[in-house]
Amino acid sequence: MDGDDDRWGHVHRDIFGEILKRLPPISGRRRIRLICRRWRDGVDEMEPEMATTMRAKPLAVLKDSRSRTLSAFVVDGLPPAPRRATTRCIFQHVDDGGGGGGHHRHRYDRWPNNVGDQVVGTCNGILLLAHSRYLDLWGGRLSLGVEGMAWWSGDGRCAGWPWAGMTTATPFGTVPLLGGVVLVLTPHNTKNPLRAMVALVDSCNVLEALQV
Amino acid sequence: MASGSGAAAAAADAEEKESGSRMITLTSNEGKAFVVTEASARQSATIRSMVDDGGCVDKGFPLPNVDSKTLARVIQYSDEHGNKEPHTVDERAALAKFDRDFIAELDADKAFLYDVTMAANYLHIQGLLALTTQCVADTIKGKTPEEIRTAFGIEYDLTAQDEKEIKEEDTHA
Repeated sequence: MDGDDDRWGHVHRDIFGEILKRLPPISGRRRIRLICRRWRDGVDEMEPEMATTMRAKPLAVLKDSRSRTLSAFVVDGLPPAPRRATTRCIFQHVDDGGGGGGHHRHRYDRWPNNVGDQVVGTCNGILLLAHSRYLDLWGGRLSLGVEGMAWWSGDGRCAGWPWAGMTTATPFGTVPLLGGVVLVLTPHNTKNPLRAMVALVDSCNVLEALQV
Repeated sequence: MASGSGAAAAAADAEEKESGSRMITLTSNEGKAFVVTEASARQSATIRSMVDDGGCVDKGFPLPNVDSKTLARVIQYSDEHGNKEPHTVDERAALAKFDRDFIAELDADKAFLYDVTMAANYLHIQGLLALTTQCVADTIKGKTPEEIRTAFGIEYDLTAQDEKEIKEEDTHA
């Protein structure tokens, strides 16, 4: 390569971004900033947007004990914007009733509609699920014991539910399995419920709601 | 094939389209024409969308940002990935080996690697872009800044003051 050929020093922004994406978030980028001015400026310019996309992605595993299906999602999510659902369904286990333990269907859909629920985003360690079916908040047993654990999406949709073996008496809180992630279930047609109202609802069956 | 019948010609056309055997001309910025299969050309999302939007297939696609040497190399990649669909384990392994050999050659010539990366970006050939930028990232990993500059022929223009500031910022980060 010629000494005066400085193509890589003047690397195109798109390509620089592609390279940064493939480097370790901290150690790799630190060294990059010491290469030359352009690269330093490139890292500084892209760092904020990289920081949000490079975060570790939560993995959500959902189990519906009644129909015995199990599904897992990777949440690629940023805080949700309207109509954005950045999740990928890893697999869905379906019990076919044959007694053989069912089978696994591997799915890599961006839009895992037929799994029944969609993870539409994460915010502050809380996972937001949207469910395509109607969920009657007043017809179930839903209780939120801790102030401030409920989470509202940008368009005001919200409902809450403690996950995995937590009883309705258990305060809505972190789920150990998911490492500080709380599952929140929202029916698509719940409009802007007041926090007090969500906390008071006390007769909803989440398993039913999750059933496909 | 029976000649003369318009219906037969149309059917042949449709069949040709379906099997992806239609040929497409790509022209480099030096005016050199490269004739490739549609399947190969479709590796490029840029060309794919132009083809699907109809028109200009017969006239071919001029690529004012790509020189002949680079285009020939890009076509080598998209032929391999577009014209074959690996079904068996062996076929997939062969394709992976092709990728390894392909990138090893480019890795030895960083200026050319840059041109191919730029072309992959311009033509939106995702697989090729991932291959080349991964190669760059792999080169960067485990090297000191000085070694990285040497590897890519990058001019060192940071002042001692700049470097001091960067190192200080990093300690606080």
